[in-house]
Amino acid sequence: MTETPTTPMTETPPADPLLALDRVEIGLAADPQVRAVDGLDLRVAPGEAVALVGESGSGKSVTAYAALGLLAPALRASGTLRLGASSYDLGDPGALRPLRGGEISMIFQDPGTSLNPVMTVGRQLEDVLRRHGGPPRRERWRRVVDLLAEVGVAAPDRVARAYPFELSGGMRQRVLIAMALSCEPRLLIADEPTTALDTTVQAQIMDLLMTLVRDRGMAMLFISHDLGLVAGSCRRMYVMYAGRVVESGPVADVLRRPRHPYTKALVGCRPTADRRLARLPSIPGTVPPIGSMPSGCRFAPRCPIAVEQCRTADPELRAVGGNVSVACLRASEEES
Amino acid sequence: MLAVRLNRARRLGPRVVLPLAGSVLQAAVVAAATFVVFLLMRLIPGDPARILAGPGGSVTPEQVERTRRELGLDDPIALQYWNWITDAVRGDFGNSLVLNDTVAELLADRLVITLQLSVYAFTLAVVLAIPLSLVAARRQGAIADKLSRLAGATGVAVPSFWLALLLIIVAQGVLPTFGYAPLSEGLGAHLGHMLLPALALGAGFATLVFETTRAGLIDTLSSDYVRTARAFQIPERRIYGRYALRNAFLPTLTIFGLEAGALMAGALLVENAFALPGMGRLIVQGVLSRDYPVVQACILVIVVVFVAVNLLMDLLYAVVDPRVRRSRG
Ligand SMILES: Nc1ncnc2c1ncn2[C@@H]1O[C@H](COP(=O)(O)OP(=O)(O)OP(=O)(O)O)[C@@H](O)[C@H]1O
Ligand SMILES: [Mg+2]
Repeated sequence: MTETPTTPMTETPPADPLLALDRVEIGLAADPQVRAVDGLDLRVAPGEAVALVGESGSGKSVTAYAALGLLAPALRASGTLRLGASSYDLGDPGALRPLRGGEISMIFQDPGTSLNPVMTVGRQLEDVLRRHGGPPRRERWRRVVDLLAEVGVAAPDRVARAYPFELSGGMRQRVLIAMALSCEPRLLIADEPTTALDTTVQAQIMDLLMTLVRDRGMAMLFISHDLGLVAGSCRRMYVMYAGRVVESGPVADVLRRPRHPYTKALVGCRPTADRRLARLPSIPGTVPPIGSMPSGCRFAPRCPIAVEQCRTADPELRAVGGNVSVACLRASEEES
Repeated sequence: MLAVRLNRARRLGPRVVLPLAGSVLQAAVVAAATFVVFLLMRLIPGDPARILAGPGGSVTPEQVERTRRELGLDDPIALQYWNWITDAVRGDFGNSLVLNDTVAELLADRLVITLQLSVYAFTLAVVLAIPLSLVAARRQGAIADKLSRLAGATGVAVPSFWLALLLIIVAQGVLPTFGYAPLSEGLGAHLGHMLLPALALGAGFATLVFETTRAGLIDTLSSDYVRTARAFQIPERRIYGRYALRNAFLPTLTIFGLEAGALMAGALLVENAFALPGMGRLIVQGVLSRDYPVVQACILVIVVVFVAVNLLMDLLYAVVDPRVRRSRG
């Protein structure tokens, strides 16, 4: 389980990925034509930290849920997930169940509601350990306390006996991280792990995650709004808009020279380090709700450089060199 | 009574002091409710002194006056109430005006039957409603869900009294539909006589518990913490019990407390339908014959039971929900 990956952190999409999501579509169960995610491909190499960014509502969370078969009953996915040598149908959530925890662990967006309010966090950790080959019963509590200490909890004994409502947001997030680590997963999906936290705690949690990823050789899919955090933690990134990947490539390149007008807008209103905001502010307009996707390029209605053709032709994601791919008709014209 | 309670509270420690302090308020509820009944009984036409003094025109006004004085009925109403409640607290409810017995004596046997009926109805309702709500919440919109919701809707719509009559007609000859069998006649006979009354009384309550728990479960099953549990392969059985139901149970507990009164009131009606010699008949007889010591004692008991159930629910709430428990502790 704890293989130490020898693959270096690459900046090219990995040829031999740990995780590959292919042709992911997520639509309403009642009406599969109404899609929250529409044809997404994504790869993560062993030990690699990859970012998935985009505004609220662009489909980041549902993508992560689909990978674990955890979508709400109202939503249904299709596409395939490859993990190492095995391949799974995303349309069959039950088949994905064995991957949960041990292969892929997830940290959820809101630590405030992601723990059972009527159980101590220690008991919840015990539940997870029991399920994932933790130590025998009598040593389990010891292990719980150790795990909490490992994620930087100062008084692990006390915290283990606390109920979630007695803990701060940052502390709850540490508990959830400990839960994810207890399974020693090959891939950690961190869904905006710091959005609900204030800035200093945010930095602590990011430090913790990066240390863990580095020390354990764990791969991470890091979902975020915050390009500042992404720049500091990931090598490659996918930019998502309205259920599609609109740009992908090495973080350094994409941030230095964004090609898609949406990425440009994101980078343009990227909060500075001393004035970091939880939500991306100032792109005019909002992500279209699922079910009312514009025809042609989905960003066209908000795009400052859209031309007539953008409203009819749906741009494909294509390589533009330097391992960057962009889905924009005008991207190459913009280059000079 | 208060002093005893507070003493007990001190012994039990801080965790239960607050609900018990709340019970000071509840003691006030008991006093207010019984005082209102006390007044109402005086408003019913028919002068008990006149009735007791003797039949028809054969009594002189002097005789009536004497009876009135003997009964203390010429005291100011507040004083009468005070005398009555202070005696009642010591377990002395006075004598029946009509039957040749103390009220406490009359009440003791009847209360047992009414309490049995209420407890059985409650148990039956919970035993039926909770598993059904689990099934229904698990497969929303499936046939089991639709059927149980239909049954639920009918259960609420049909008053327990009608249901009692219906059951009596349907089960005639199959199950006992008349009278009471004490436990001393054997558990089988006892429960046999109680089954239909408990069903009639519990049906409406069961549907309330069902609806509340089902709605709660649907909520908790789509909660973030259930998703977390699933993300770590916690067995579904445990998720339903420890994660979903445990949280969904909080509103259900509130329903238990709120409905305790309705359940007792329903019991009085159902008893009459099934000729169970519980408090129901005692109250009806008491009202008809202006036997107000009996009626007042019955009401007092019902109010006290209601308050006690709610107190119990408060304590249970603290057991189920650590947020309540620890914020008090
Ligand atoms: N249970 C659901 N039923 C119907 N639509 C849903 C459901 N869950 C999510 N959606 C829709 O799917 C789209 C993507 O939602 P998602 O939560 O993945 O966005 P996100 O990128 O994670 O946003 P955020 O940054 O706010 O977390 C949204 O339009 C949302 O309304
Ligand atoms: Mg999200």
